[in-house]
Amino acid sequence: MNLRSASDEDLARLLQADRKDALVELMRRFKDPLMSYIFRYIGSMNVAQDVLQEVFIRMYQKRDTYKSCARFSTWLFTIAGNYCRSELRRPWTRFSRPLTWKPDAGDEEYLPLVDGEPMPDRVADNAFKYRYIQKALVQLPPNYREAVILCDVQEFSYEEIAEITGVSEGTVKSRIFRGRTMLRDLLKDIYD
Amino acid sequence: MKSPGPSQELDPHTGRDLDPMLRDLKSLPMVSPSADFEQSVLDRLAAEPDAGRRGGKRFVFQEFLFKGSRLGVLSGSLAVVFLLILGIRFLQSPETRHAAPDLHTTPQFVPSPPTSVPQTPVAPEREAQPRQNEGAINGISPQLKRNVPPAQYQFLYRSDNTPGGHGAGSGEADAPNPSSANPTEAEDALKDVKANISDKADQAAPAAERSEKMRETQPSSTDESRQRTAVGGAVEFKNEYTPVQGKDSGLLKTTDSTRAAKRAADTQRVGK
Repeated sequence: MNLRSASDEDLARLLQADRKDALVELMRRFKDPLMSYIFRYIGSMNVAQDVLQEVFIRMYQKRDTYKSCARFSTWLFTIAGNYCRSELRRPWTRFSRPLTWKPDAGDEEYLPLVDGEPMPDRVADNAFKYRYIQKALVQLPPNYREAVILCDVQEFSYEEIAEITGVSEGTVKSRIFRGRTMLRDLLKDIYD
Repeated sequence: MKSPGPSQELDPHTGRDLDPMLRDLKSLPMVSPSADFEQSVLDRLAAEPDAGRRGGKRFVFQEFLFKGSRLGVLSGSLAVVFLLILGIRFLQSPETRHAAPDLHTTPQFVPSPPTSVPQTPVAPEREAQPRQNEGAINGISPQLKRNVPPAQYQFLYRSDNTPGGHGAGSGEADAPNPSSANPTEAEDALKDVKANISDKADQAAPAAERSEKMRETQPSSTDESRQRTAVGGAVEFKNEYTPVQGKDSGLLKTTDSTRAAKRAADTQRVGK
């Protein structure tokens, strides 16, 4: 079986059969989306990398609990979301999250670009805007932040977000609406 | 899930054009971990297959107790000890002890031995020890009565009061045994009582004379003996004043007799 063309669910079944190459392929597919999600959620690059490593290790350890009826990406983002929530409850993460992150801290500078992303000159043009967006995101309450990131950054459907966060679809819609409203208020200097 | 590439310009939920903020959110750049990320995960899994399950950042009670928060446990223990000391000191404070006095440990009044002259012991202050003197007669507490032998106890009575007059006591307190008392001292006490009664009778006599004179000159009225009779519009007062006998003799019961007489005279004048 060609792992590159296999679906996520097939790779998960191979992983349940202790195929390490399936694990490598899954990490290759999901490391960037997961890294973006964790970084936008937690707000620290170093913590996000540690959390991402723990998420993949947990994925490997809990591979037997995955049921093929569910989407693998939803299951993996559920693990990541749970880990992020528990990480945000830790005092060292909480204190180092928004206060130490500054637009000039240089976090964006050493973020490696993914293939297919806009060219560096466009990134340079938008760097100021992205920094402000990231700064505004980490100021949202965690529930609203998670919903907005999953919906507007990761582009999950309401149903998938409800499954990841463990709440109803109505709650998801409410959180997204409120999060967007708060975010718009925080970014009114840019968009007004 | 979002795939790397140009972001959509339409809202996938509403199908309408995205506002600038949502468009920028969707176009946020992907963030990648370090290049050797996969290899580091594989190395860690190979080195410790149980990684993440034990130790790490998971909450372990033993770590919490013995590693993580020694200072917290120590300060908590000190706080508990401090609170215990405070509680014990509060229980031992004088205010708390006075709330429930112990009769066995509270010092009691001990009368001095009787001498040839009858002594009247001073009763302890009722305000200071209210529970101790509860049920006391003539300032002598029941505890004191129990501690004094019958032969000496009768001298604890005041000479101007007859024993048993209040009816509150019982046994030895109400009926001291005369056979066991000293006859000379008993006679002296009886003389005192008689002298007291004669003094009061002497005081009562001039008071009765005074009230008789007042009754002749002015009609007075009391609340108890006032009788009103309407005769032709006039009001006639019939007064029956009796001077008070006994220890309250000399006192007039009608303290407003002058005012009442004045009012009666006015009424009679109006009637005419």
